Amino acid sequence: MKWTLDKAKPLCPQICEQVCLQIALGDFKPGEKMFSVRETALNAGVNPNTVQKAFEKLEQDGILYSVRGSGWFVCEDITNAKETLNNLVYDKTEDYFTALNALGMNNDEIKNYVKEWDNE
Amino acid sequence: MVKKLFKHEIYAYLRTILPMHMILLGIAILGRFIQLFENDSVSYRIVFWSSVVAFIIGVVVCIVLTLVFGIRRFYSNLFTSEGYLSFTLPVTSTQHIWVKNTVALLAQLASIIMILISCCAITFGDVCVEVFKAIGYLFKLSYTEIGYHTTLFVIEFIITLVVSIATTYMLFYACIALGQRAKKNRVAAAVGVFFIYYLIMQVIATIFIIIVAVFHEQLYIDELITYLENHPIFTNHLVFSVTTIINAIGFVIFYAITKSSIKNKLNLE
Amino acid sequence: MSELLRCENLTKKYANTTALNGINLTLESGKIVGLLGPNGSGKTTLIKLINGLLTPTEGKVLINGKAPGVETKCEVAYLPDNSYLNSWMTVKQIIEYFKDFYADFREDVAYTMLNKLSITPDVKLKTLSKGNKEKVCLILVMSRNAKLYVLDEPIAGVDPAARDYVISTIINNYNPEATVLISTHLISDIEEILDEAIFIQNGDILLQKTVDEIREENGKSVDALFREVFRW
Repeated sequence: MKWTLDKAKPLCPQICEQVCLQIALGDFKPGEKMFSVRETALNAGVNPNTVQKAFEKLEQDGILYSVRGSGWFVCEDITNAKETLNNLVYDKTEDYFTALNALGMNNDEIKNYVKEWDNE
Repeated sequence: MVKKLFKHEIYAYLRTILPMHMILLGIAILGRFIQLFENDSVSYRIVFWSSVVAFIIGVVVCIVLTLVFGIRRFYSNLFTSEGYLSFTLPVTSTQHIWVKNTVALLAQLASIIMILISCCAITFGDVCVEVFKAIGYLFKLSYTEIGYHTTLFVIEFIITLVVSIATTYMLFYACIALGQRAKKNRVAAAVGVFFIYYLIMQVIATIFIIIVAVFHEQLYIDELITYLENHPIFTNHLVFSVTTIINAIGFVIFYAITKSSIKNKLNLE
Repeated sequence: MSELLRCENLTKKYANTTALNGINLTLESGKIVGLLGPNGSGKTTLIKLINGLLTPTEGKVLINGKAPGVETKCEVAYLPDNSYLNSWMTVKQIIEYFKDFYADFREDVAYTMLNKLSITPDVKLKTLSKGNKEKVCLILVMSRNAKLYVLDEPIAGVDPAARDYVISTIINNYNPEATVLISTHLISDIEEILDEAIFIQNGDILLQKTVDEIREENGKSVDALFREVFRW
């Protein structure tokens, strides 16, 4: 898993988001053990404290749970993680439409354009 | 912690001092070996005297290098980049100074012992035995003729030697430590401090001599000299103890200067 | 989070310059903190004061409530900005040296890290390449189980691969109860691993904030803010 972090924004929420994506996309199955805080920190090239904070935030959101002495696990119910994925898809779509609106295309024109682009 | 400090300090000395001792001993043994081929030829005499000169130079170099190494070790281990490590060890400045001084002293004593052993080596055989006999005779003579106790003499001599070596090192430490208080050119400042000290001692000695010369009647100097001449044992004790006491006072002063400079004014560049 | 380091009105003057201008600073334990500032801003002076290598002109510096001394030196692991090891020693001897003096030194950790770099213990320090020598220094420091790690410019002048090595070594050995203070002027290389940033300029502390606060408030990276603050 490649981590893409934008240094211009707070890192902790970005890590939460990316962990949600990993779970929603099936990199980690429900009930599966996550990489440890330190491993995640090393992979992402960030501070272990930031990862710790992100994991704690995800625990509050009901996405991860911790077992004392053995680490972090994915919750059985991953709807929240999937919701993050959906939100992200929604945001990206909105960004795309906004950007093309600014280039003078209306929404129908954009939809037609996407179909044509896909056929090519 | 002091034990560890000693261990690493001694190790640092052994690396340098030990090879030097071995070379000196080697020169001595080689010199003795050359004597086996004794004859009247000019070439033998040239070789023989060269070996003697080489040995004498070796002895001087041994003493001087031991001194220089002791001073250098104090400087480089504490005040160059190595000081970054030395002064971040969980060790007090007091411990640093004492360990450095003690090991430097031991190294100098080791050099002296090594020189004595080398002397025995280069004269090994009849000459050596004769020298020992002569020394024994002189000791016996001083005891029977003057009543001077040989063992006491040796002990006094060793104490005086030890204290003066320790003080010599401490003097250089104090100069280096004071030099460190300078903003820059700290080695030059240390040399400067040493020469100022030297100058002050010369002035004090001169004043002392002038006082003795001018007031020798009032101070009963002539009577004192006569007394000392008639009491050689007392004179010997006096010379040893006065030397030792003056050195000891110097040691305490130099130590205080070194310690307060390091403890309160340490500023590594 | 308890207080680990405190500077009160800490001032250091040299012949005709003021290196630190009465700074007040508190660091908590459990943080990776960047001490960020251009060259000559007072970073190294502050670090040397923490390690007792300099005497303050005014004010004081306290580590766990104690002025620099034997006790604090047991708890502070220091990586100077220049090479400071006796170059005649072998790697094994320098490890022995650290083990003898620092009760918190973990010999096994050090050897494991050296093994990974394929540095043999019997090699003399002076025969190591500059890069490897710096890595050995970092390994020695990070092999201690200290309360405060003070790393002075650990990534200055190293290539990107070595920089990654330094960063992963720090993360790998980081103990959540300890604090790591890293001084640097190369912020972009290190900002992802920081919790907190301290900006220092001309002997004054300009700012001390968590890096996520900086990103949130300014909408830019710490590096971008740094370049803005220290624009000349």
